[in-house]
Parts: sequence; structure tokens; C-alpha cells
Amino acid sequence: MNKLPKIAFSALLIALSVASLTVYLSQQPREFRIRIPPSKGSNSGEYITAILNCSLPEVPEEVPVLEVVRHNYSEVEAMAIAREVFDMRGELNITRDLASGTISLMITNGTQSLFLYEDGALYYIAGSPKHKYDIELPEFSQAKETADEFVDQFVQKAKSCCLITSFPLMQIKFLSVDFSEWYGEPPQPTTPISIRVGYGVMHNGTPLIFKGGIGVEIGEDGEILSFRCYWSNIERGRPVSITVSPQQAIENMGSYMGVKTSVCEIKSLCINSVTLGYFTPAPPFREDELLPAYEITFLVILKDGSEYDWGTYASATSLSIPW
Amino acid sequence: MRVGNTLLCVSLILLIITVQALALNSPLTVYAAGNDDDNDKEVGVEWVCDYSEPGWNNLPWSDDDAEGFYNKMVSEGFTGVFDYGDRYAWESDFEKASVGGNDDYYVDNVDFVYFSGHGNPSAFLFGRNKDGEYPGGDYHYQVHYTEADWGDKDLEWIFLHACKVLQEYPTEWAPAFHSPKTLHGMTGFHTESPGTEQSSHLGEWFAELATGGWSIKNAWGNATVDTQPSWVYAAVYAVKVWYHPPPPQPEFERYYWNEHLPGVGDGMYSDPPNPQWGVTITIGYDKWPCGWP
Repeated sequence: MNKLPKIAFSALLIALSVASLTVYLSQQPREFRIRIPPSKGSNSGEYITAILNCSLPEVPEEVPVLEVVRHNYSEVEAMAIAREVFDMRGELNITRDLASGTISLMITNGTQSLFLYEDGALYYIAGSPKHKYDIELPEFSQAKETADEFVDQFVQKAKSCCLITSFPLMQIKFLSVDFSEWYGEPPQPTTPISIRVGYGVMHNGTPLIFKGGIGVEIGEDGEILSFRCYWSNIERGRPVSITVSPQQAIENMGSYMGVKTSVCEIKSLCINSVTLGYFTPAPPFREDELLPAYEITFLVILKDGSEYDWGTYASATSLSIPW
Repeated sequence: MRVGNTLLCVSLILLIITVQALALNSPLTVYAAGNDDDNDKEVGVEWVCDYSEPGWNNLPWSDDDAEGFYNKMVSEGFTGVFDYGDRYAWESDFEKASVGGNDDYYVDNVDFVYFSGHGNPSAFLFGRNKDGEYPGGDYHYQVHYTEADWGDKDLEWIFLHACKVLQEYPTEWAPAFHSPKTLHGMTGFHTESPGTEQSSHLGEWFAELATGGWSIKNAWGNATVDTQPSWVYAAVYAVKVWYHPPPPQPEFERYYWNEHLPGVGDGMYSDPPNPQWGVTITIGYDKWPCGWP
């Protein structure tokens, strides 16, 4: 007799769970109609269907902008970074304001080169891939171990010589390992000649998207060829409201998705990820503030059956991003 | 004896004249380093924003891209020869005379050319139908690979900010390098490249790096990594010469993508040698993803 209320209560709970799940799923539309703005010569825009193949992120009401902190490195500081962080020996030559002032400093000893930007971003080159077929590249797992060790040591050294001042705000996370260059001479097929291990840089859990990451290039026999660290010294700035939801970003992305394929050739898009991050151009084009934006990656499916991976960036606020 | 000496002299003169005439007319003629004039720093650009006539997507940033390259090169001492956009950008400027084109007067009359617009694996595309209509030249709104034959006059490198033109192995575009090879190389993209503001920095940044000491391949490589998103792959075709003379002379390889712009670093290499024993000439291919990470 006492079992009936328990069974009824359990059934009620199950029903409520199913109803909640249904409501949640119904709030995440699985299909979007994306309007492509009219081009010159046509009066009306066209629409593309986008299928959502991922969950959409929950976004806060507001986040701080990130202010880029720049520092005019003296030659003494630059030499110390070259020697202590990258073990550059011998006579170091320094060129200031290379490429019209967009690169702060170039330090070279003839075999190694270091490009140092004012915001702490840098590009270190120790070699270049060998263009040949009988190349001995390490396994991806070995390459990752080598890169992990290099990045760990770099971070420790960079902290000790104040190359990066905003470490408490930033975290580094492994992203991917893949080939980074292929060489070929017809009729032989192309062959990979280097490997890249990529890391994301996060601010309080939010990634620096587009060009804010770290990459280690590894060549024959596990040699480190280059190291590109495109993070930035940053400080938390004023708060800005997130005024664009992930759904709105998808619906509006027709005007900025940058796909050159004619709309009439596209059958549909399949959206694979939507990520809220800080839009971070490469150091030469970096502005004074990094702004919140969505990175949307998707598969473009053409009417002829072919498809390719693509993506775009959309502002998450009322401020425009330079995508 | 006098008659014999006279005959010998005449024979020698005839031999010299014959050898010179053969050398001048032989297909093995050595080109004068790909230059038809004293100026090896001439630059031309063409760009297309408006594709409404053929009905393709417009590319509002193409002018910024190509003119960024042009202005930077000119500011670094290169000679700006032409900057043609939209209705003034003609496909025939790139096409060989045998298909009705005028490349001798435009693209092949300068040393470096940059194009910004649409492309596909077989061609790069224009907004006006200004085609050479001779037999074999009727590919409208495009420079098809069969219509290109560059470097026989002046062109050294062509830089293409257009989707997929370098998607395939350089087999199709190989005739564009002329025979014997006189074009040094082509840069471009293996995949699509976006028509966005960041992407339009490519022209100027590439010129900054190439005039700032980087080799042509490394300048293109770094400029594409800095301006293109991670899902884009860039590429380069360039002549590779493998010298393998009989021992004890040493073998060596020359990759033309390692050359620099004139006046930068070691400067440019002379044109590739003529086909001959002990020399193998091919077109190398290199491609890379633009994402770091």
C-alpha cells in the first residue's frame, strides 16, 4: 500500500526530467537560416541553411575587455631574453623597428633569430624544414613530449626575466599536434617535412582566439625549428556587456563569414563548434584592446557533393572586431 | 699556300658566324636573367572587388590587399608600373599572345605581379570579360592555366591572393613557367582564403617582410600565417635546379623560393639554366596550414 505514492512520485520526477530536457533542447535550435546580404546588382539577399552539430556555450552577461600592455624593450633587455630564454650564444646583432616599426626588435646571432614584439609576443627561429623525401620525423607523441618540455622551460625562463608579466591571468592548454609543412616534386606525392604542436592561451578560462596561441615547429630527428608565441601581456580592462547571443551570431554570420564560394553553390553548413573568446590578431595587427568574440567553425557542403572546413569570427558585443 | 690560308680564314669566319646565328636562334638560348630592361624592380598589381557582372561574390577587401602590396613596394624603392582594379583589371593582361592576350605589355613587362580576387584550381577570375579570343583563349572572365606563359620577357614572380589556384601539384601550371623555364615562382593558396579585413593585410605584410630581409617563400609563409585563419592552407611553386656534374665537381641544389627581392639579402638568382646534361630542372611544391596553433 505504501509503494503507490513512491511509484507515483518517481513517475512524476521522470516526467519532469523529460519535460525539462525537451524544453532545454527546444531552446537550442538545431537549424538556422543564415541570410547572405545582397551583392551589388541583386536586390535581395539569399539564405543558407545551417545545421547545428554542437552545443552552444552559456555566456556571461558581461566580461572585461583585455588591455594590451606594451613595453619598449631596451637592447639590454632584449639581449638578456635572447641569451637566458633561448640560449642564443655568440655575438648578438639587434635591429630595431624592423618592417616599419611593426616588429619591435630582431635579435640574431647568424644561426638563431628572435623577433620580439612590444606586447611580449615573439617568434623564435632556429632552423627551417629540410626539403627532401627521406626525412625522419618523430612520432606525434614524441613531438608533443619535446614541445611540452620546451614550452615548460620557456615559461619558467620567461617568468624569471619578466618577458611576460601577466602570467597570473593566463593559462596554457595543449590543443593539437599535426604536420605543419609538406614538400613535393612531381610526380612523387607530397611528404610532410615538419610537425607543429599547438597550445591555446586562456584568460580566466576564456581563450585568445584567431592568433593568440603558441606553436612549436619540430623537424627532422625532433629538432626544434621555430617557436611562435603570439600571446600578449594583458590587463583586465573595463567590463563590456555580451549583447550578441551565440544564436544571434550564427544567424548573422552571413555578412562576415568570408566564404568566397558563391552562395548558389552552397547546399548547407554544418556548425561544429561555437566558442566565446577574445579576438586576437597577429602581433603586427594587434590593437590596444582584445574584445570578446565568437569563433564559429563549420563544414561547407556544396551542391556538387564536395565539402570543406571553414570558420568565422563574430563580435559578442556592440563593438566591432577587425576580422 | 695563300689560297689555302684565305680558305681557312673564310672557313673560320663562316664557322663563327654560323655558331653565333645558331646560338641566337636556338631554343637553348640563354635568357638575360629574365630581364628585358635595366630595371629589375618593376611591380604591377591587379585586383577585383566587383564580380557583379559574372555573378560571383564581391570581395570588398581586394583593393586594400593589392594596393597594400603595391604601395609598400613603391615606398621601398620599387617602380610601380600598373595598378588596375575592377573594370580596368583585364584577364588579357595576363594571357599570352598566341591566345590573343597582351602579357608582353603588362604582366610580363614587369618583374613582380600581385593579383587579388577569386580563383579556382585551374584559373584566377576577373569581373570583366576582356578575353583574348584567339583559338584556345576563350576562357571568359578568367586566366586559365593554358593561357599563361610567363617570364619569357620580364616577369620573375607572380603572387596570387586567390582561392585554390595552387591547390594541385604544379603539373597544370608548369607551362606557365615557359620553356625553358624563366618564371621563378608562384605563390598562392592550396585552399580557399577568406575575403575579410585580416586577410586583406596579406599584400602589405608580405611586402614588408620581403623587403625587410626575408626570402620570398619565408615572407609568403609568415605573412599567410599572420593574416589567414587556421583552416586555410597556403602554398608556393618554384623552380628547383639540381646540378649534378661529373665528379669531382660538387653537386648542389638551388631552390628558387629561397631567393630574395632585388636589393634584399643575396638578391635574386639568375634565370634557371637551359636543359642540359648534368642539370635537372623541376618545379617544387610546398604547402602549409596558416594556423599557429
